[in-house]
Amino acid sequence: MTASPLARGLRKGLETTWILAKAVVPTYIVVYFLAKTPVLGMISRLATPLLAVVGLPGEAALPLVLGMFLNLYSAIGALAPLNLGAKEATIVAVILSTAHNLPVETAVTRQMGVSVWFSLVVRLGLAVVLAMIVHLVWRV
Amino acid sequence: MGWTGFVTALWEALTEAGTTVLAIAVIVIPLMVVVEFLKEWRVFDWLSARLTPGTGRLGLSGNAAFPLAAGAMLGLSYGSGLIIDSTREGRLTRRDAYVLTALLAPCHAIFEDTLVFVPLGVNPFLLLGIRAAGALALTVVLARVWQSSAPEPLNSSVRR
Repeated sequence: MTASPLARGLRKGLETTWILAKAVVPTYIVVYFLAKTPVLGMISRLATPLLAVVGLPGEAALPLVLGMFLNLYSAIGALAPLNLGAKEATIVAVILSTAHNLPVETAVTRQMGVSVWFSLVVRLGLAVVLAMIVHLVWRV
Repeated sequence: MGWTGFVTALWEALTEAGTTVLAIAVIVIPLMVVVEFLKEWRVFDWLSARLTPGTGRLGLSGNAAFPLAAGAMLGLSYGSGLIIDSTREGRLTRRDAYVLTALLAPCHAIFEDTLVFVPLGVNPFLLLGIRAAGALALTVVLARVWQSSAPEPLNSSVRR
């Protein structure tokens, strides 16, 4: 700790970036190739019956899967053409803002020493519970 | 996918991943420099002492306040950068890392992640309110459970 704060900060910034890069880059590449296979489409079809529980139409499955596997921007690209009502759009937004970009962000929390299952259960569990609350409370 | 198709796709994936890492570096490196100056001037000790009552309610030490604020406002990757560094220095416990994850994993980058949904007709205040209230409620419950049953390994520092 003898170096100047500037030198220490730069070294730590680089070290931390490196730790995060080791988590982010491989995950990103795997998901990128996964998105080119029919796997995401299959998951969407499986998810359709579950969506009724939170008051969403089956067509919301693809944006949700895209958002969870990739990021919010891909999800919103797929959501815009669906023209969902205010309630449905809010439910999708609640789910996705809580649980998105899961492979990369879970790799990041793993670097903090937190187990993968903990991160995933917390995010997906909270997303579903909050969506159900909105669905039940919001009476149009 | 042919051989050239594979190489092109791999290159695309690498560039996009690289851009993400670069975006992290652009924020994390200056952030760490600022943090080191704040430590040098003992701002953190002062700040921690004042924030302890608030973070204590969540079962966190005062040292967790700054990573928490950075993650909530800037995003998970940036906040986690500070958390990784703090845990390596032994300033945060393993339990702090879990409590911070319970709060930040579902609720981070509160401006960006909220505003992107506005064009779809979503009320941003309602969305953020629901998300933040849910994450806070969950964290308070988990903090209670962990405080009363205090699993031993959660209180030790992260091994690295």
